[in-house]
Amino acid sequence: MLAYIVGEGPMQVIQSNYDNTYDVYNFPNSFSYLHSHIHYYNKYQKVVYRSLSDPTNDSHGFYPLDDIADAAIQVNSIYDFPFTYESIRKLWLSLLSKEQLEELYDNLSNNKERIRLTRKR
Amino acid sequence: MSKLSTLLLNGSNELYGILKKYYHYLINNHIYSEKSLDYIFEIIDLFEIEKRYFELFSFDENLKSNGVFLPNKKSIILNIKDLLLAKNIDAINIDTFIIEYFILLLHEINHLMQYKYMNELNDNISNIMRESAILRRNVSNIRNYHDMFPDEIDSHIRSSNIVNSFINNYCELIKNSNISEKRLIYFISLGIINDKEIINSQFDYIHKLLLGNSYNKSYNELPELLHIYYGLEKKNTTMNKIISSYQTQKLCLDINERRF
Repeated sequence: MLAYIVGEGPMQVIQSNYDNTYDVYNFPNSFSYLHSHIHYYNKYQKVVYRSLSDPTNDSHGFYPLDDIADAAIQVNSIYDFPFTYESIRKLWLSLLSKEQLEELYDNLSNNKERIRLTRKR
Repeated sequence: MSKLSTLLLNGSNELYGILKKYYHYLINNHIYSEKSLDYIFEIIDLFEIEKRYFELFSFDENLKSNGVFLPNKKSIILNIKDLLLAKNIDAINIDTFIIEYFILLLHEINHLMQYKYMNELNDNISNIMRESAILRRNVSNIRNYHDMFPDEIDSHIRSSNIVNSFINNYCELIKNSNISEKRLIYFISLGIINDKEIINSQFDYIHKLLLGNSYNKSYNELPELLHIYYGLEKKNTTMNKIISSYQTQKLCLDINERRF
């Protein structure tokens, strides 16, 4: 999913606000995509993802001015280090409601029954 | 296996052999299956855990956390709903899914073994476990400090260390992956490095936070490696290596217990 947007390498996210200001972040890897998109999908007027190894790869047809791109804040938190479920889960849980997660899970799972599989010794 | 290795969760050829078979099974089969449970029991049986400590294993998506060991019910319960979700939307691939699942499974098995250890031995490690249990009774919102407790740090590091060794030495299919090493570094530095300060001893930190004083027992005689495993006070050289690992995302210290 993420690879469609920016490939595997470092990426830049430009979030265009409704008041025509921009928030720009550089991320070490494309997993940081979750930081902007899944959590804030209605918060910004437009969100642009750029591969820093190929900056012309703009998935939304928007080429930011240099001064916007240069204003990027480098994001290096512990969440950007491991490509792990736990780091992703923490971000989801902090920014998506339980109901949204449930709905997402049910839509992706054919099994809407809650699993309980048990074995006794 | 020796007696000690049935009381502490450690990697062994037998364990790696089962993990390898289980890994190959999970590549093409569903985790919620009778066969999957067979592998789990095969792992638990390796450590010769008596029925009075453990009887029941469940996957339960209604569980409020990812996993739990319940001593009174002699059971381990895992909830991998979020993990399956992450895999289903391709946020993680199948290898990462299996790595995270193995770490979670071994984490809870380690809690079971800690409980057995605490009941059968009376030494520094069992004392730390008991103190940890007492501290837990003093905290109302356990989630905020969950990763600072010695039993949690030990379970985090042991489980991810075993999976890291398994990936590097026994599983050729994901040999080049650095996910497991990053995960181990994440757990080694968890609670030590945060936004505001560097904490040498997580155990001392929660002790002061919850009881208002430092822990008064000296654990100097324990090997330095166990100071990492149980969140005790560490030497400056150890802290430097942990911080280097955090910064470089490469394991800069030997975390292998067999050296001691």
